[in-house]
Amino acid sequence: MSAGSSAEIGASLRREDYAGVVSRLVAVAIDVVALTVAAAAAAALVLGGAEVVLGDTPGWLVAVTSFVLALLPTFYFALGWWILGQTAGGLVMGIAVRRVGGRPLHFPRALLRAILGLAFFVLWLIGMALAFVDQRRRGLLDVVTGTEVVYVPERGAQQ
Amino acid sequence: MYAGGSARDAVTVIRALRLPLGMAILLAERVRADFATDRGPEGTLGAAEGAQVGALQGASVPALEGGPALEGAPVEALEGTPVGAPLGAPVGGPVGASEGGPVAAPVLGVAAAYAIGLADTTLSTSGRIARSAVAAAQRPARVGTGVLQTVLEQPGVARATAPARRATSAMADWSAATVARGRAVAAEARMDAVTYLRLESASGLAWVRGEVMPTMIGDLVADPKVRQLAMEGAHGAINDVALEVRRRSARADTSLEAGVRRLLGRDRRELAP
Repeated sequence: MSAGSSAEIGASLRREDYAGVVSRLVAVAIDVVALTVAAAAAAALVLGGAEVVLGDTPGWLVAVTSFVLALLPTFYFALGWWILGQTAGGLVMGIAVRRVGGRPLHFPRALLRAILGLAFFVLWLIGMALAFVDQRRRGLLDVVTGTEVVYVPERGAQQ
Repeated sequence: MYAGGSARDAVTVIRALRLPLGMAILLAERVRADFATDRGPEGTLGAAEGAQVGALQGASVPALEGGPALEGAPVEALEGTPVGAPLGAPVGGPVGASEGGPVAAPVLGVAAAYAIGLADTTLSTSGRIARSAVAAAQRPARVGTGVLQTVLEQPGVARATAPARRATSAMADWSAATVARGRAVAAEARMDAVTYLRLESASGLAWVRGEVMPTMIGDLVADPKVRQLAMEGAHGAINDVALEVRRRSARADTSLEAGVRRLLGRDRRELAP
């Protein structure tokens, strides 16, 4: 997709149709809460279940569980953006991630966005200030990965 | 009935009797009206109803209002009853009074009104007589009581009546003890009843909580309709909350960006690509 066509598609939306900083931060906060609860429940279920069934928690199980839980946020965001364009927080807040121009994300781009966002969380947070001055309310991560965050069609004033 | 009170009490009792009398009259009229409505559709019984009501109303209302018996009671109400008038005719209306139709009903009404008036007159007269009698008997009674007290206080008489007084005192003590015992028994019975009711209600509530409520809750939980209703309610509530959060966050987005722009001193047009 060329930059010109993307600009044409993007030009069909007003600035207010793109998700702002507050909505995105609230969505991320919801995601963090959901991930924390899910990770705690999964860890309690696996490790506690092993403790009950086996009488002890094997070291390899702890390692595997830790590994899976460490990867959980990455795949949570990547799969959410790839399949739905939304995570749980995005569903609640009514915002979705898409490529510049309006097409949905492919898995590699979604995975890259998730890895960069989680690895450079502070930078992502600081780069969010770019949304204040960007016409499409894009943050630094959006500019790097070629994405944008919009309100879902039901909420946006898409024409 | 008037023996224990003054003349004023007697009048009060007489007046108090008028209220139940009036209630009885109204009840009789109501029953008769219903009975007449249930019976023939031709209107003759309805006319009787109107006649009866008119007769009773004309006779009883002045008496119930405290007037002197039947003095001043409208004679028209007793005589000019609407005999044979159609159903729903004006109460007490004199039109077509004696032009055929059943006569028994107005006759009964007049008789009932006469009886009631007679009773009212009797009660009023009795009240006046009782008032006069009590007023006349008060002074002799006081005098007699004083004389009797003086006689009883004489030593000879006191000695002679000592056994009787002791017996009377013992009887009074026994009566008082019996009353106290009865009160105690009544109080105990009341407490027993209250305790019984409380225990029964407590056991009933425990039974409901232990047996009925779990079953009802189980049925409700297992009912697909209830589940669907609960799910829909929860879903709707969550949607409402989410919608409100979205609106507020969208407004916050706009407000925050406007503040940042003012802080940076940049116009929105400068941001356009």
